[in-house]
This record gives sequence, structure tokens and C-alpha cells, in this order.
Amino acid sequence: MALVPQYILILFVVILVDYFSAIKIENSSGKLRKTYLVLSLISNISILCFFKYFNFFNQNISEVFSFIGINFEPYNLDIILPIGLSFHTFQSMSYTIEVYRGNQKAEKHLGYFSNYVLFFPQMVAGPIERYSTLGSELRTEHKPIYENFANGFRLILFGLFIKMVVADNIAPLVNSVYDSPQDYSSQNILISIFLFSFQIYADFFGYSTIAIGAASMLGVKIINNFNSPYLSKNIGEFWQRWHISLGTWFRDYLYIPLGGNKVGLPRWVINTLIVFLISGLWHGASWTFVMWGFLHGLMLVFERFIMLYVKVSKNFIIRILLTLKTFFVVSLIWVFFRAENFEKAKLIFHSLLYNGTNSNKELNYGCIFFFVFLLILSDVFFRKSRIDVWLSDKNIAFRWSVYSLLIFCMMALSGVENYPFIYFQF
Amino acid sequence: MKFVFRTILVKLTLLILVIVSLNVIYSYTFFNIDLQDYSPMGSQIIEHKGSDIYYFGESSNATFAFNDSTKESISELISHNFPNFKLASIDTGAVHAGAYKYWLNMIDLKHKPKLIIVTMNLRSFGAGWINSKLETSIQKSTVLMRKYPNILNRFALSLGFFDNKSEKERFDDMINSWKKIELNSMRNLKHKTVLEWDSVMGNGGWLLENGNWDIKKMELGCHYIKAYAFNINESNLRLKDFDEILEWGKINGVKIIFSIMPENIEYADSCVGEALVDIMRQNRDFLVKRYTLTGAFVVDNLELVEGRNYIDQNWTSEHYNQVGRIAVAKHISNVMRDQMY
Repeated sequence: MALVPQYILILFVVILVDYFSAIKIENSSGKLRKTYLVLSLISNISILCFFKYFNFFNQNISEVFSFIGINFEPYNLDIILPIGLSFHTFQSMSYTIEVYRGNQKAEKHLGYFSNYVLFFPQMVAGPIERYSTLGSELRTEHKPIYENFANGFRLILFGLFIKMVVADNIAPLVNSVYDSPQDYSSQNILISIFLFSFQIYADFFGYSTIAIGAASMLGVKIINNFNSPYLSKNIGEFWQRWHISLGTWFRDYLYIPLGGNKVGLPRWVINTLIVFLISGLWHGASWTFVMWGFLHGLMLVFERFIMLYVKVSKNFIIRILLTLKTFFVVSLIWVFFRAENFEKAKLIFHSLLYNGTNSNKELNYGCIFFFVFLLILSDVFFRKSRIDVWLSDKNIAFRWSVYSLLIFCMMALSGVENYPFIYFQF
Repeated sequence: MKFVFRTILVKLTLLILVIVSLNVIYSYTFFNIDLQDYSPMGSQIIEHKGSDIYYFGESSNATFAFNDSTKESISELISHNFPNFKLASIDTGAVHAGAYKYWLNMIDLKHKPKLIIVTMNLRSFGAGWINSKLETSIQKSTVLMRKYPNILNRFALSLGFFDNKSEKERFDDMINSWKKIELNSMRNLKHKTVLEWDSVMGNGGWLLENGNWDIKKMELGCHYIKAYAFNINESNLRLKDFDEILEWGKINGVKIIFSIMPENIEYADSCVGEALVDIMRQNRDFLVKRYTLTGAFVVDNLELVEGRNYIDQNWTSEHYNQVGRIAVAKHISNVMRDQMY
């Protein structure tokens, strides 16, 4: 993952292909219409596959050959994944699909369409916006309004707090455990598995909040990508609250075209697993990501079977237990996301089960649990209303007390290593 | 529009006031803890508040030979010569003037220190040190000691706002310097650059009488070339660091002694030859002349310690056994005497 200046050209290719495809789709009918869509999709997916999956596929082909006794030296391309490629190709694809479906008029102005793909606050790691929302926002004239600046500032400040204070303080602890799990006790490993759940959430949620804040300063509204995901009571609900823009993308452009809920149970199981496998692969060119997606799909299927036979009580305690259960399951599945390979994931689980109280190293948690507590608290508190909205009707003394606290934490208590946003690598 | 900008201006002013207040809170709460964690040398200096003399050194002040009868460091040996003065020894491995200049900011000037002794390590002027992979962590350890408000320094640390190059970038810079910078010597040096010289030495430097290569001597020779084959001139980055130290001394009325540390000239001669020794002496002369003219006291220890009194016999270092340390301490003390009394 890198920002290589020449790679900007890839973005221009994506923009030009989809811009002209959409106009052609709109102006054609019958099979030609579909041909233009397919051409557009193939171009986008080819770019994605070339930069993201070429070496991965080659390596796997080589392993298959070697399994059947044929020696095949894989040719590895010395290329770096352009930053944010998965996000802007998906965003651009959603536009041509919507034009094909007749839900969206093709944009005739290349400038507006380019701005949609290149809109800087969310270009690198989403949220993956639709043209129907972001496009019209970008077409509207936005005058500088103080409230927009203020809301944007609040969101950026909160996003920086989440990223720099919560995620970046957790990162070194999780890294130490994942580097040598054999050196830590089972208890420390379990805690760091849980901590990674908060790290990746704080990292990605922080980025999304900053992106929404930056857009808000310009008067542009972009969608919320998270809605307190760890308060979900089951995996299905988790996916309605986690990385919402990606979840809805897969729902609209893969799950529903495959048949959605309107198919028989066996077909539904297969469709669900396909969607989650591809979602896993979207995250990274590694079997661990595929496994991560597969396990989420499997858990979703499993939960649906359970729901056929068990009626869940609405009792508050039961709801809390279900929330904890979901968090526990999601955290364990995150191990595959975080581990560099299956051996490492296996080592983590092995150490978790068998290390017991033996440990060569200790972890210094410092104020981490307090920061995690603040993150959970903010999730509970801002479930129905965002921090910027919540703060806007408070008096100035209260608002500035909150700002001061956030600024203090961000400037004085943030992590001291420079960790790039995790989702930048996708 | 005018209203919007006026409101933003008022809020920005308020923000600055908040940051000023938060700086006070931070300085009284977390700063010392952070200093211990991320800039331990700063913490050490604060602990030695009220000292008359500060000795800033690298590993030369913390290494001893196994069979030394006295394990006292150079600074401890110096302190015996000045029993009426409190000497603070501030040292850590692989450090240089690029860090010392920030250490000065931690000295409590209310107690009026009299003298700062700063080691001047010849190797630290070379591309190998300037672009060492350790440089990022050295620079990181100085961020909290910079002359900005403490909370801004802490924020800069989080954001990586310091000379924060990757190992690869530093390695490339080092190789580039070795490849491109032409060497000057009084003798007619056949090799134009460090890499050229290193390559000649590595491919036939030392042939023994029995026809075998003296691999050990060859390796050491290559190492000496990379460590000492450079010409210090006005564009050398390290000079700026020493200049800043000197300037600090002048502004605050504190005398500064630069102590050029002994290097193993004998081995440089026997492993590489006189050409390298010439370059080392040229560099020493340059430093002595330059800093004597600008008002510093320079103690020239370069050739003070005999080759056998170095602890590392197969590597370049400024690690001396007790004979070496005593000689250096004595030499520095002699110069100090004129300054202290």
C-alpha cells in the first residue's frame, strides 16, 4: 500500500472508463447496454486484480502445480498496491451499475464525476459513497457556514482522539503479542485479542469520522460508516453496523443479484458464504482474509439456523449476554484478519489454549482500559446521535470542556509510534 | 462571510488559550513520566539538578575491560580531581552532538552550572554515523527536550515530527555518500570514494607471505575505511550541532569543553595505512582550529591511547581500558583546571 504519484493515472483510467461507459449505457439499449456495463466492470475488476491479487493468484497456482508434482516458479510483480484502490474502484463501479439499472442518470460533466471518485476526505478508505448521494452533494453550491466548520471540527477532533489515543495506544501491545504469542500468558493473549477488536474499530471509525468531519467543513454530507457495531446482538446485526457502506455495497450488488432472501435455504446458505468469501478477499490478497470472511458467513448461517428453533427473549440481561457473545465471536474471528498467515493464527489460538499462566514477557496496559471504556461509553452514548449533533446544543462552557479534554488526550496521551490507518492497505 | 471568519478567529484564539492551559497541566502531570519513558536522558539531567559540571558522553564513558582493576568511568575519574564540584555524568550508548544539543535544554540554569564537557567523537562526523539506522531512535529520544512547549513536543512525538527516516532511506543515504563524496588527502590517494577504497581493500587488501589472505585484517581495514574515511568541511551536519552547543554556552554563560575522543590510530595505520591516518589527523586539525577560533576549549585526545589499550581489538570503537580512561580523564582535567579555578 503506498501513495505513488504515477498511480494517480490509474484513478484517471477508472474515471474515464466509467464516465464514458455510463454515458454509453444510458444511450444504448438491449444487449449493447449490458456489454458496456460488463466492459466497465471488467476494466475495474482487472485493475483491482492486477494490483492487488496478481502475486496472490500466481503464488497459489504455483502451489497447486507443486502439489501435483509440477515445478512452476511463480512470477512475482514488483508492484505496490495503490492506496485506497479497493475503495474507489468499488465506488466507481456502483455508479455504472446504478446507471445500468436506470436508478441513476449518467453524469455528463466529467469534472463532477471525477470529483465523485476523487473526493479527498473519503477517497482513501471510504465510506464507499453512491453517486445518488455524494454526486448530488457535490453538485450543490456550498457557501462557508460556521455551523459546518464547527461540526467538522468536532468530528475531526473526535476522530483524531479515537485514532491517536485509543487505536495507537492499543497497537503496540497487540503487535507485541502477535509477534511472539508464545511469550505471553493465555490471559494476556485473550486480552490482546479483545484489544485488537477495539484497535481496528477505533482505527477505522476514527478515519471515517475524520473523513465525515472534513467533508462537513466543506458543507458536504457523507454517510456514517459505523453504528456502534460492538453493541450488536448477533452477526447479522453486526454487519448492519460495521463498515456499513461496504456491507450495503455487497448487499446491493452481489447478495441481492444472487437472489437475496428470496431463495430456498440451501441456496441462501451458498449465497451468504459467497458474499462473505468475496468480502474477505476484498480486504486483502491472503487466505487469512478469506477465512475471516468465511467464518463471518458461517456464523451468520449458524445464527439463522438457531433462530429457527430458539426464540430470543427481549430481557435486558439476555440482550447484554447476546451482545457479549457477539463481541466474543467477532473478536476470535478477527484473529485471522490480524495474523499474517495461518501459522500465526494457529500459534495465537494454540498459545491462548495452552500457555496458561506461563509468560516470559509482561504487558504494560497503562491507561488502555480507560481509553477502551471511553470508546464503549461513546458508542453507547452516541448510538442515536453523533457527537457533533449532541454537542451543538450544549452551552459553550460544556462544549469547550469536552474539546479541552479531547485535545489534551490527543496531544498528551496519544500513542508514540506512527501507525498508518489499517484500512489504508485495502 | 465576514461573520464566519470573525467567529472562527475568536474560536482559534480560544483554542490557543486552551492549549496554553493544557500545556501547564501536562507539564505538571504526565511530562515527567513521558520523559522517563521516551527521553530517559532528559530525566537523568533533571535528577542531577544543581550540578556544577555536566559530562555528556557516549559508550566511551560506560565500558570497561574485564581485567580493569578500576571500573571507574572517565567522568568519575575526572570528578576525583574536582572534589569541590558536583559533576553529573550523562551518558548513553551510540549518541552524539545531535542529541547533546537537546540535552542542554534540560539543564536547570537557576543553579548556574559552570562547565559542560562534551565528547567529540570523530566517527560521529562520518556518513556511517550520520546515516546510522540508530539515528531515528536517537532523534525520537530528543523530541521531548526541544525548545517548544512540552505539550507540543509530546504531540510532535506522536505525529513522528522529527528526523523520522526509515532504515532503508538512511542506508541509501549512507551508500550514496560513500559512493559520491570524493576524498581528500595530503597524500596522493588512489581511491576517490569510500566505496572504491573499501572495494580495493576488500578485494586484496592484505596478502600474507604464505599466499593466504589475512581476512581478519582485511575486514577490520574495510571497517576502518567506512568509519574514518571522510573529510570534515563546513557542510558537515555534525558541525551545526556543535555550533549550537557552543552558542548555548555563550548565551547562558556556561563554559564548554569539547573533548575529541581517542581513536585507534595505530590500528588504522596497520590495517589501512598512512593515507587513512592522514585523513583522521586532517579532521582533528580542522576541528581543533575551527572551535579554538570560535571560543571553545578543545581537548585533543585523538592519539592519546595506544592501540593495545582499546577494549575492542577487532572493531572500531572509543572503548578504553583503565589505562586509556585514566589518560583521557587526566588530559581533560588539566584543561578544566584553568577553567574551574
